[in-house]
Amino acid sequence: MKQTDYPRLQECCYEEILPNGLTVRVLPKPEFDKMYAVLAVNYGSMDMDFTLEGETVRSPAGVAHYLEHKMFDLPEGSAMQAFTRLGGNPNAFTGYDMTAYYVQATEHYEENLRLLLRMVMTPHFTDESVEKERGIIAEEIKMYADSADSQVYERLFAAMLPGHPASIPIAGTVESIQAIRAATLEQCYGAFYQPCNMILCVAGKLPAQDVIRIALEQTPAASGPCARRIPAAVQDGKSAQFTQREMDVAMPMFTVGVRLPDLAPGDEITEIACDLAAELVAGETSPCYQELYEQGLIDSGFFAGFESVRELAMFSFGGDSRDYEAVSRAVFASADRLLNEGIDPDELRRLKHSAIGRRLRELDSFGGTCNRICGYFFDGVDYLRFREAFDAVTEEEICRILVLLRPENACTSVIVPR
Amino acid sequence: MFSRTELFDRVYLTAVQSDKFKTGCFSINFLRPLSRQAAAQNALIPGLLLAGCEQYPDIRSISIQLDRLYGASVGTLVRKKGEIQSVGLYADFVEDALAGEPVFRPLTEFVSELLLRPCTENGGFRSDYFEMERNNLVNSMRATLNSKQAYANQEMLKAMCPDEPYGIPYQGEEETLADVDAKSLYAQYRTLLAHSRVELFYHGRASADEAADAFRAMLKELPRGSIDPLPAPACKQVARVRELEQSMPLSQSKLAMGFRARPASAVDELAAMLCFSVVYGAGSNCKLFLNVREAKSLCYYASAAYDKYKGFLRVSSGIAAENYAAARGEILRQLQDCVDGKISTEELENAKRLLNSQLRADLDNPGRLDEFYLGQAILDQRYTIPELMAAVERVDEAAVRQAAATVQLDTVYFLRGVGE
Repeated sequence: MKQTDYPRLQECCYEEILPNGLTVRVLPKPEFDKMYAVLAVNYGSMDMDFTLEGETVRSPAGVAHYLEHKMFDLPEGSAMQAFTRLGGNPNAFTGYDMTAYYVQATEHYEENLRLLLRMVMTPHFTDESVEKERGIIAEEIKMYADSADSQVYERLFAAMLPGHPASIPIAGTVESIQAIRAATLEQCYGAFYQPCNMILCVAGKLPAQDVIRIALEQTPAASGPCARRIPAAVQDGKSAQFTQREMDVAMPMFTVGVRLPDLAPGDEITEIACDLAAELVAGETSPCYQELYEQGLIDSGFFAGFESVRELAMFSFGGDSRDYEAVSRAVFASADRLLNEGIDPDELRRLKHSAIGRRLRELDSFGGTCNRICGYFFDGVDYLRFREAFDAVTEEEICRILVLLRPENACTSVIVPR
Repeated sequence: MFSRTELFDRVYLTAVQSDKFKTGCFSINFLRPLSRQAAAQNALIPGLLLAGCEQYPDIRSISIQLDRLYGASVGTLVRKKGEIQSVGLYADFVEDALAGEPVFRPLTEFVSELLLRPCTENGGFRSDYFEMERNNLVNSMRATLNSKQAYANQEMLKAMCPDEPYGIPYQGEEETLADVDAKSLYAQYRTLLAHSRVELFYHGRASADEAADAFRAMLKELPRGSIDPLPAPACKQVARVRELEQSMPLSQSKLAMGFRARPASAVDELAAMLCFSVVYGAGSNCKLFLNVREAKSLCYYASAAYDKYKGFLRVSSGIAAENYAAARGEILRQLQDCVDGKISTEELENAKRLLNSQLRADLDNPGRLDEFYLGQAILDQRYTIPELMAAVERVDEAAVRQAAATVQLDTVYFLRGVGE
């Protein structure tokens, strides 16, 4: 068990890599009467095409999310009921590049953790139960189809990333999920749900040695063969610069994305440089933000910052606006001005100080912190080193982002009122 | 460990001392009777306070000051608690010990400036700021439409309570802002400061005395006059069930059902109502989830939420339009089962476990504690969360059955999705 102290965060983390390849990280919080445990799989909606022991598999869109729903079935019944008996509050989420199962508990820590691990390690799919879930998932897909917040992003990805599996909604489509059977789930489960492709992260009352002991007991002795992803590519030259849909919304809602060069594993400098660039260009302390706000073109829901899905990275900004074109023009003009005038070192220092303060505050959320540790782990980054990463970001890195912020590189997704 | 102090005439501080967190927080809340005429004005005031004050005259200088306070946040708070509207500000900050510099005290001084010295002109708020924030509020009201379930819930409530303040949305209504200008809103702001009961909540590392000291200084120039009384919510009987339907181009239809129930302030009464509402419609073991979703696959979600302030129960569900009659029938059948006492020991035990697990988690959640103590202040109750947990343990099947029997369907609102 390796202990790492993060004195600048007043945090400490234990890590053990089990013989089966599962990484276990524990943030001990003995002073709290609660526990958050998350088991994350490096497998998301975009991992549709892969090879397994030499065989090529092309799975339908929506399998990762369908699996997430069906993992809660155990041979003896629903794991939900079992968690309830233990006072645990479980849930799960599927992203483009990760699936995560978690439980929050204020008692029976060991039993809740044991059940979480057993649930994810026990595939139990029958055609009957898979069939029954189809209607529920179809309703969930329809709910997202009606949500302007989801639509504005899904359509941006579809326009920006043609041919790439991230251009398809995470849950798939009502049509694509029709092809999913118990055998489909079993195949994708076996391909990705191997301990060496997962991380367990726990924060709370339960001591690290207990977490590791339980993980050893509840996971297989060794990992089986793991899938190899077939790298997905964006069909360059086919991406659109604009996409629009009418919906029943009060005001136009928009997101603008500018693709950044693909990330190398372990790159966290780009994220921080991009977020700082966003602060400088259009953050609340920028002249651009103030002008747009006072003109009533943006409100406090306006955002700008970094987004990534595995190696794909983008700078994005958006919100609600009656004139998103004016907002977009102002943001790109602000980036241009900043490049010409240069970055004020005092301002950069203040923005870093403030961003670090906000990240320190986020550490109080066990769930948020554990989920970030998992997501960054799959990208080869130790999230808890963020202060060092901020120190390492220089004006040059920020300028490297700023030069890309040009309207001809951008894609705009808009939802307009019907 | 919590303490309650009256800092000035009916200005109360609830302080929870804890060393466990990296973040400290506080909120200041002005309590008003929820009224059609004033609700939107009250909701507008916090936004205007964050637009600029004498020392920090625009959002840019405010944001720069927050950066200097180690990335502290200040935000607006507008809440509806039964027929009382609570408006004010909240602040979150890195604790001094972790920041290595004082943050809490300078932040209270900053909030004092924002709260008590807004930018004014000609005896009113700055008119450009007024226009800006009024538009933001109107946009925020209209944005309820963006979330179809929130919209359905709001329309259901408006139809159910046309003559009761409870039907007023928490931010008030757009039409009532027509005659309001920068000057009249400033008068309302002075009323809010001088004539409202004030509830402060603090959670952090400072002792109760240190916190009281800081907030006394923060509010030493708060004007105080006669304090307006706060009404208890009216209880009405259901005469006949109202049914409404509206169509919209949507993939998924939304169902919102409003029920009248008993308000519950006393701890045992509340515990019984909470147990009933969880058995019926909260979590993944409740009757609605297991029957309407899992057994019959009629929806993606169906859940019930109980409001202790008013005595109101809402069921929300996202369904396929063709399942409307079936879903509605099943939702009411599950309620009838509760009334008839068809509640297994396991169902009740599961509900108690879920409730108490949430309540135990609330003890470590500053935001939830803020909600809890504001509620206690409004309902004039003294019981603690552990006492509520003990009351939950005491609830038996008969109490759940009795709680269910107080629930009467009043209004059904159906947002029918067509042609998408």
